[in-house]
Amino acid sequence: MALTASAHRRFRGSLLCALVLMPVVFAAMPAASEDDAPPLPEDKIVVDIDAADEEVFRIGIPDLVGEPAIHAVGGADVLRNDFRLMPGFRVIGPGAIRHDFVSRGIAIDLDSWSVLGANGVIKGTISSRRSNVIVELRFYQSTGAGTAALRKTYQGSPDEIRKWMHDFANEVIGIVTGIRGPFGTEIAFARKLGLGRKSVYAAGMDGYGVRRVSSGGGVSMLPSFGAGTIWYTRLSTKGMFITNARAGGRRVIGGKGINMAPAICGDRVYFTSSRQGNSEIYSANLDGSAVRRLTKSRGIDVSPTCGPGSKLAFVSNRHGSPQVFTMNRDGSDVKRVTFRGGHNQTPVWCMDPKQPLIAFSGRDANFDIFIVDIETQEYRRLTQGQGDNKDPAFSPDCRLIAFTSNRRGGSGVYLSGQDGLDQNQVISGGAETVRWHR
Amino acid sequence: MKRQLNSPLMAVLCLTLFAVLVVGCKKDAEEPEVEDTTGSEMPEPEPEVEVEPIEEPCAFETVYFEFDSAELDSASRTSIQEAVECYRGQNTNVSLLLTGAADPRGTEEYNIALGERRGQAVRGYLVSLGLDGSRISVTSVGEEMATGTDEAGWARDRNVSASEN
Repeated sequence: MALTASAHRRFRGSLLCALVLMPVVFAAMPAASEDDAPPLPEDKIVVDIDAADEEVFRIGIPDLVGEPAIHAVGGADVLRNDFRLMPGFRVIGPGAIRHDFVSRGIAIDLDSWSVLGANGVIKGTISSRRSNVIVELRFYQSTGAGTAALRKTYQGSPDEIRKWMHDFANEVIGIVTGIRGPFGTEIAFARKLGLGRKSVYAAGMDGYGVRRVSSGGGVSMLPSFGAGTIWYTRLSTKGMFITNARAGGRRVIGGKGINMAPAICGDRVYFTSSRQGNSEIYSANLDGSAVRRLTKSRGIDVSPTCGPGSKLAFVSNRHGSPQVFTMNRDGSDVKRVTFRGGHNQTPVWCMDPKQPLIAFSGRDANFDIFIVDIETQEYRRLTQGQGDNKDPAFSPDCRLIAFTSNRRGGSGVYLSGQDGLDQNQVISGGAETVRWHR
Repeated sequence: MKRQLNSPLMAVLCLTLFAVLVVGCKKDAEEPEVEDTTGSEMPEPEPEVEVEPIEEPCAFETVYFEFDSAELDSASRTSIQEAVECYRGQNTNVSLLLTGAADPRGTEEYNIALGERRGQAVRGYLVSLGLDGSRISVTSVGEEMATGTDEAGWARDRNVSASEN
């Protein structure tokens, strides 16, 4: 609807008045100038490069010995995929195995495996008894003189085979590396379905079993695990509110303006809200009561995420450009922790207190994934030169980082080791803001 | 005889008068009658009919922003001033919902906050120009409605639009 010509004439006269008032209006705006942080490191191009062979544990995983019909529902394929995704391991699959495939059953012929350079072998059998299946698995190490380092038997519904495989993989990883593996845990992410349409999904960390979590149409986004459910943010006509799968999409934390991006740390929800006019970090009880404001800056404060030892990380542009900060969960002891790069966002904190690491999305030409050691200020670049890579999430043991990338066109979820090696896609078909159940 | 002569004449006169009246009435219905103004006698001017002007509804034009900025440029300020003057001129107690938006080149959370910051900047300017702040609410869609794939498209994505509540 256009204004009348006379209206145009009248309004021109008020321009001077408006210019006089401008400084009053913009006194509340953040400083426009960027701070002078040095650029993020670019000296290491590591995308889609695997670790050198001499540094990996080569593990042979032949098909399980047993009934093909049962085997078809999952078995050795699940194991092989787990070790394919785990940094520091190389899988010797059935294509490379000419000896000892079925000839010795679940026993081992180490000589034939040593020809293939295996450091370890997983062998197993699968059989059925009425509606149940029985899976017996053994892990042999090349140094073990034919004695299994691990043997387990699982019995139950065929639906549980994947779970057993993940469990055995985790135990083997624990034997080899000293820390149990993360397989069987879940990730959550948002997927854009169209303009103004987005839903929250969850899947196994290996990308298996994608399922929709959010209710209703419109925009559901920014998922987070906590208190036995998956939380997310819904866009309404007048703002944004926080809900979870248990609440079926109904408002759990609302209020004026935007309320978004929940992070559940212990028995409190930490989130971003503009209820008092500016984007700040708040906390509340799990039912949305006892809301408490934690930050007070004129800049944008967003993206709270749980850290170890009652800490939080978040993003603020209070110094001119978005950077990662940390603080106590009561809002005290605020510290800036990223000092390189001009746009550092979406932090995630490794929950292992022995690894003081925060991963984040850093922007120069595109977004890329970085990790900073907040004690030494050492930066590691995980991605470079392949589209936008953002929204990192640490696995429970911090050995893997999930992130979203559009390097192959549509966005998907990728996994990477801490050093940027062994990057593999686990989710395709669109994914944003991935979170890992820890 | 007189009677005979007069009767046809009267009939013609009556028909003529009737015709004149009919035509005159028809003309009245279609257009204002043009009066013969010859002579010194000027007719009284018709009183001007007070026609209620049709007010154009006030429009709040969408305003646009630079990358990662919530600063209003002069074109945006002028546009906002015009809208305020229009609302003021119509003595309208308008309630507005301002919706801020961002281009897709960012993280979702920051873009939502940035969109809201843009909405707040517009709201602040409207209040400084005299609109009632309690009647102006702000929300953000971040990058959720962004469609841009190049600089021109991204520039269109970075905006604040208004709708009447």
